[in-house]
Amino acid sequence: MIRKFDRFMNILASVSSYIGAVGILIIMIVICFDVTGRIFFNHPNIGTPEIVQNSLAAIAFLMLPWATYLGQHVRSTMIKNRLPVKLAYSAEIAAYFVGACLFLGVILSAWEPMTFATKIKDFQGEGLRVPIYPVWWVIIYGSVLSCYQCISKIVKAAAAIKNPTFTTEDDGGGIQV
Amino acid sequence: MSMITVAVISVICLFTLILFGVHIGFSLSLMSFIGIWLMTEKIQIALSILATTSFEAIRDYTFAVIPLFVLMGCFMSQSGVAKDLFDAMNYFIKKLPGGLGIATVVSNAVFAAVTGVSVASAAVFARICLPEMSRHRYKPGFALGAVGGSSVLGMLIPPSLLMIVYGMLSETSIGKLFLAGIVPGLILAGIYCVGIIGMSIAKPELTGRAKNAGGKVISASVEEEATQNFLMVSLRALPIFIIVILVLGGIWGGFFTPTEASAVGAFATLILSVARGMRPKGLKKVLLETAGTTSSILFLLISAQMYSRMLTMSGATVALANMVQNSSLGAGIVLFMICFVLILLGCVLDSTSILLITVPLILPIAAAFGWNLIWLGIVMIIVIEMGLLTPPFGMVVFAMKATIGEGVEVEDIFKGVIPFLLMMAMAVVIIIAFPSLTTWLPSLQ
Amino acid sequence: GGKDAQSSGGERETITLKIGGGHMVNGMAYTQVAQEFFQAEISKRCAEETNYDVEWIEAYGGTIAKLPEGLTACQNGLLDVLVNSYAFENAKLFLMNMNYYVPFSSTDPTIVTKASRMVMDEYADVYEDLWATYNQKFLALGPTGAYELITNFPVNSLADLKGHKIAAAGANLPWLEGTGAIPVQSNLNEAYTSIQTGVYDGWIMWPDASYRYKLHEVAPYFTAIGFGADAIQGISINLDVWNSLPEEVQAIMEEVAAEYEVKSAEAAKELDVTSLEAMQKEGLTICEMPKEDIEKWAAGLPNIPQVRASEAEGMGFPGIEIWNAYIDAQKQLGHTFARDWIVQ
Ligand code: NA
Ligand code: NA
Repeated sequence: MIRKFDRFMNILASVSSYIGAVGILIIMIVICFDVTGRIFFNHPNIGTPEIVQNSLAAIAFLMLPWATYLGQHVRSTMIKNRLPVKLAYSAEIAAYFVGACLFLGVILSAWEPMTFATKIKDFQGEGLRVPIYPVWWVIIYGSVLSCYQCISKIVKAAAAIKNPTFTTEDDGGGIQV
Repeated sequence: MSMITVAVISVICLFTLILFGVHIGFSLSLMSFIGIWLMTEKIQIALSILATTSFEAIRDYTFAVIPLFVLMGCFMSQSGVAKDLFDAMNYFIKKLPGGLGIATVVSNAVFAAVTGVSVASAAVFARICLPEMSRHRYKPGFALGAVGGSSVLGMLIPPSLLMIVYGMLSETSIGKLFLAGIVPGLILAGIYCVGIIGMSIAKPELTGRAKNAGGKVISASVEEEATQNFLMVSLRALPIFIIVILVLGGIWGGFFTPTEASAVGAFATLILSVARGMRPKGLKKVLLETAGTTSSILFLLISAQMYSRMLTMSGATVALANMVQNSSLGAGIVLFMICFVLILLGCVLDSTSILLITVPLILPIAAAFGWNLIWLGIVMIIVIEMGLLTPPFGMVVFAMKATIGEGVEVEDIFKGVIPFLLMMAMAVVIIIAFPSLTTWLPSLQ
Repeated sequence: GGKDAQSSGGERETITLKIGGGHMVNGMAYTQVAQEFFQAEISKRCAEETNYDVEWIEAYGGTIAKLPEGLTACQNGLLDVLVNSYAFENAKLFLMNMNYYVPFSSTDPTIVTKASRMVMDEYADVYEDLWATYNQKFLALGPTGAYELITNFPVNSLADLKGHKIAAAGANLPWLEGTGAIPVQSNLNEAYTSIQTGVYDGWIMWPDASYRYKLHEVAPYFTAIGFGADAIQGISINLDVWNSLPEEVQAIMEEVAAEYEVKSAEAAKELDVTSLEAMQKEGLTICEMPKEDIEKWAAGLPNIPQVRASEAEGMGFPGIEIWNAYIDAQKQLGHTFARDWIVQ
């Protein structure tokens, strides 16, 4: 049951990341359309800056959980590499505990702005009104998934302390020591 | 607790957390949260920095260049043009020791005319140059240094985000600043090239060369080279130059802005990749690679903003600058101290924040000493860019690490760029000694 | 922010306030006057007249909150005092952007500010509620200069605009409708390079800001159209912080805020004049657009005030009354509109 849920969450993270990447492709296309319209048809697409700038945070948070799963967040391992194995796993737990708390903090603090922005259907721009409240949804969604990934890393590291031969099924989501 | 104390403690804790392997993004946000909590004694205010900054930090049209240039870089490596470019560069300057290092510097200088953000240059060239240098048996430290060091050209050669910010803060002409950056940019690129040749001669093994039995220095042999001729090499490298011309010509010909250029360039490389046989599966691979790199860079930018906001709230940065201002010292010493403080701030803050915080405080000093603001701007920008390469917070280094992924430690990159930091310092000294290097071009306008 | 009580009795206490917003201090008149007058004067008067020393931690230029997040930052307490533009909070502060939705208002910043103040006083409850929603008390308006046209080609008639790309920030874009010009959305940070390289040919901007961003270097032609100045910037304070302030400090702050409003409007007006002169010295050419063409321009616009007033009604504000009050207030102060806006 837990294993199934874990797989579901990992797949969700990977799919979200892919959607975020497609978002980058869409930004590229939107800007190219704007440029083409302006140069060749004297008809720029009003609202392009709003669409692009408001998508960026959403894209970042869509891609965050999978980056967390893959352990792609930048860190220094200078000292950690020299620690005894059990201590290194403890450091791993501490690091991801910080991460989990932070994502929890984002969820808690973003909740009210999210509900309020949704209530007033917050938008930006005059020529084309770009709704910006969905960005809050994505921030919370991305933080929930990232928080889960941090907790999952903590559990894996804790299991590894108890049983040093413990390994995860796939290397990607493993823990780095 | 006094706010300055909080700031000092937070800097110390930040260093400690990062050293003990807590992710840099996590450390920055945690310390900004705790810092604000201690200062305001209200947990809601501290929490709110997490939400507002997540939402707003990268909500700017110009930030789109980061994912788009990363995407461009992925397409370039996917389509193989990166490899072709470096084969070509190596073909043309293989006689020179450290040819690929020089090629990295030259391509970065050309690319700088397209991008206004160094982080984007670092991400693109880490992807393009490192595998090639490694294939030619260059030492990893040297290769990392060359890529990291030359990526600062991105904000020294116009267009440049930092120059725009400085121009607005100091009320100097942005156009003149752009012109002023060209000569120092070329000087720095020149110093890098000479430095690379020097390093390569002194230690041939750095650049994949070795002494043979007869004591003669030869390059490591790489398979394909035998079949190459001038025409083939040039033809294969042609597409990348067409893209550079398209992007550069587009910007300077008035068809699009530098931000838009990143989208046009990415689109051009997409077409090139398809023409070279990229299928949907390849596209998916490129997209996933882009996602990984982009998300860690964007996350760092968000958390870096949180941290610099906390420092601003503490008033510590202002206090630091005031100290410099209040010391009744000579112009040379003060300039040296300003540079020193900028380097210190560069250790913990991002470039734009440093400018925002320090320029207003330095302007009165500059007026007192009668300094030329354009010259001062270029000096400040190079010094602040050194901060992109210094630990513990070096955005260019992190962007490279995010691009490379496994296999290289952040420390390796920080170590690798040390020689290039020294060369930057040399450039700063030269420009301080000869202000006309910066003021000559703008004066022609 | 708040009080940092050193001891009780007759000894002095220090109040530290975080003040700032998205614009840089020397980027705009309203921020400059906020620093040079509002902050300085409050500190001075409190030192002289009360037992409190007011100290400021400055966070201009987006160092704590950028333009679009200033409102939320002050609401949450990240900033105690917000000095910001409201143009980036289109939905939340729709009412504070009313000026934008009455084009061809007075080009005199002091008149639009006075007119806006009259409206805010008349509908005090509406505005107080609006700001209370965001946990803030509104203190003072700080207007922009007069929006005009700055271009890299001479504009001596409406026909000259045809086919040219003119940039503006979001809210001013609708002013270009029906002119034959192609509206391009942009931001001031990109303006210089974009005009220089020819991405577009001009901007709708007021002289002071044009000069600060050096637009005249790349767009050396100026045409007065008379879109009007707009009181869409200002100062507000976090309500919790406000309520925690001693009464005598509150009184001084309100007093200084009222003076700030007058001074920043005067500064905006004066800076428009001096910066236009300075730009002329540096090679700016002044073009003349005939009065008929300007009236034609105004007549060709959709009835923007009507549309926006109705929209405000939909949001639950007395939009039609407020829009009319603003139009009438300007007429009362001596302004003649290039088009007689009918809002009903
Ligand atoms: Na550049
Ligand atoms: Na640094």
